[in-house]
Amino acid sequence: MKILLIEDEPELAISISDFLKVESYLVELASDFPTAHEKAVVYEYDCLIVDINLPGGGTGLDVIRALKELRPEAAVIIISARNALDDRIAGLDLGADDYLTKPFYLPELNARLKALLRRRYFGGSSDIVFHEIKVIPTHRSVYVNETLLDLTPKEYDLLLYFLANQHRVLHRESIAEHLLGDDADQMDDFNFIYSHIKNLRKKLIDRGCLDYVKAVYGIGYKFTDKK
Amino acid sequence: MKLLHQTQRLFFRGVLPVFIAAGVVSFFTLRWVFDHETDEKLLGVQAEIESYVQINDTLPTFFQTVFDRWHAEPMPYDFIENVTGQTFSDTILFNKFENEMEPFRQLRFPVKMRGQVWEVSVFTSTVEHHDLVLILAVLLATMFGLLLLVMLWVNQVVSRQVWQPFFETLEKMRRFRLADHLPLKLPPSSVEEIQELNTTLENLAHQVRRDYHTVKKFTENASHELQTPLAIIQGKVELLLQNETISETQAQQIDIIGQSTRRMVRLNQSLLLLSKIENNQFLEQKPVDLKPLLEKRLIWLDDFLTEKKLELQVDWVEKTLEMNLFLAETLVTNLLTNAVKHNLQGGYLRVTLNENCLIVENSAALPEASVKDLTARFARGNPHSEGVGLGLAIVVEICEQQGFGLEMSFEQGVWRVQVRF
Repeated sequence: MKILLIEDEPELAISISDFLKVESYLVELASDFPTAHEKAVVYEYDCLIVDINLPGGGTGLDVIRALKELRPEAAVIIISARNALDDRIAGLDLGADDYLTKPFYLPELNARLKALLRRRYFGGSSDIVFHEIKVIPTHRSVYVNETLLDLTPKEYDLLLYFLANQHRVLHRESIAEHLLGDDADQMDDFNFIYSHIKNLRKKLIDRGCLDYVKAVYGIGYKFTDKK
Repeated sequence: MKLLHQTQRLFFRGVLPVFIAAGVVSFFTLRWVFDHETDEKLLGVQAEIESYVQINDTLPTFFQTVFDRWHAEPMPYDFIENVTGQTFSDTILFNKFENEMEPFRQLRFPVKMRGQVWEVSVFTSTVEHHDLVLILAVLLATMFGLLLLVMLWVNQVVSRQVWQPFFETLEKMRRFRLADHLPLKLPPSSVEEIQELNTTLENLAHQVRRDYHTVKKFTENASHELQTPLAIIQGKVELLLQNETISETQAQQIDIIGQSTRRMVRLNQSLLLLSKIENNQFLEQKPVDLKPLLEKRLIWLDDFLTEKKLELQVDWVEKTLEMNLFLAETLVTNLLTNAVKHNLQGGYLRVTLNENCLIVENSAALPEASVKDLTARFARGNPHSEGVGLGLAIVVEICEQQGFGLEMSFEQGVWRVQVRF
């Protein structure tokens, strides 16, 4: 998968691309408007991750506009420091698929990117398989050893988040924000995620699934089959 | 004391003694003038009598009227030496026509006649003069009194007119709000002092406004500029945490960096939001249904309600408000999340929405800060809480912006916030 990351802040760009490279994406960088515009128009990418504020005479919105004229089907995720409603609406109006407010959690971007690519390039029908677990995203259904597992919406979201970020450390706040959305920062106590994780684990193990959820140093969790 | 009363009192204090003094002085002057006139007249009579005596060597028989009379009597011889000049005195005689005692002025002088010295006394009635002085005094007092009243009235009218621009300025200053978009504009005045006052106030307001905007702009810019470095730190923290080789201690330290960063992010976003509300960036108004907003947020909070084992009581009606949707959401979110965050384990949360107000009540431990302090920025009921202390400040700001009445109280373990539409 080829990704174009348009981000003017080099350190942030490196963090994002480092994180995404683990998923074996090919990440290209563009740090100003002219480069971004040229690359977006000339080359074909599976997805563009676009920052709105860019140096060099144009904004990320202009890049998206130009791109969508050529390839309306292109997948675009906007990342912007501005959490202004206007930007979000303008971006989504231009055909962007998703919008993330800076600062965001890298696993969240990863999950959104995966979900977007799945929807866009596999018609949303591609099942996610991890050993004995199979998730069919279009139906929001989960099977363990081919038997349907009954999960609450939060447990389902949690499982999907884990599956999107396998072998990675996900800390509490990142999980809380995935489950609650941007507003999670309104709350300061995330103990509730323990119960969701506990329930999910229990349901999985009860169906004969191995315990893939590992607590990491009391700071978060990791979903992995490695030991 | 009002300015008008003050000037009137001063005026009164200044004018009244002058009037009294003037009254007394004119009274005595008049009396002196009349007495003088009387004496002159008596002296005239003396001169007439003396010249008559010189020619006729006898006293005249005329010159005896009701008010003016005279008589002469011989003086003892040894007394002559001493009686050289004339002597004036006041006396009271019987007026047989009026049948009453009346004051008279008397002049006594010696006259040589028929080889003997006579003492002649000439009298003239002063009753008319006394009456006249009295009438004049009353007249004068009445005039002064009337004058005083007229002057007070004129003073009031004039003061009111003269001070009118001042009161206008005062009214404008009272209405002046720093956050307003228009600069302070005071009406021009032809009075130099008022004009000077207005110019000074305008300049002052201009400076204060400029400083205020600079500070606000600074907050906004600072918040904006902070976002990128914070995002970088957060990204790096996450990458570090993915590192397989770090120890548990390191991981926990990195996690603390991450938590502090997120706290800064929250703080930053709240500050940005506050300055945006203050800058009137949420002007678009439309009908907003409050009940669905509350429902949505309570569903969102479900996990936290369960976690704290909170009892939820709702009593609501459909209520539509004309306001900004984002501000409505923020208001509801802040009120409800606060009520959950600062609630007790096993406590309750009561939400009441009716035609006039929205009330959020929750059980709470006694806040160390007083109610008023809690709405101040960066005030936290619990100093160890992770919150940034801007939640209520944002609520206050939104209520102010939308013209809602906001009442907060803490009584008997119940924290209560009421928003009056």
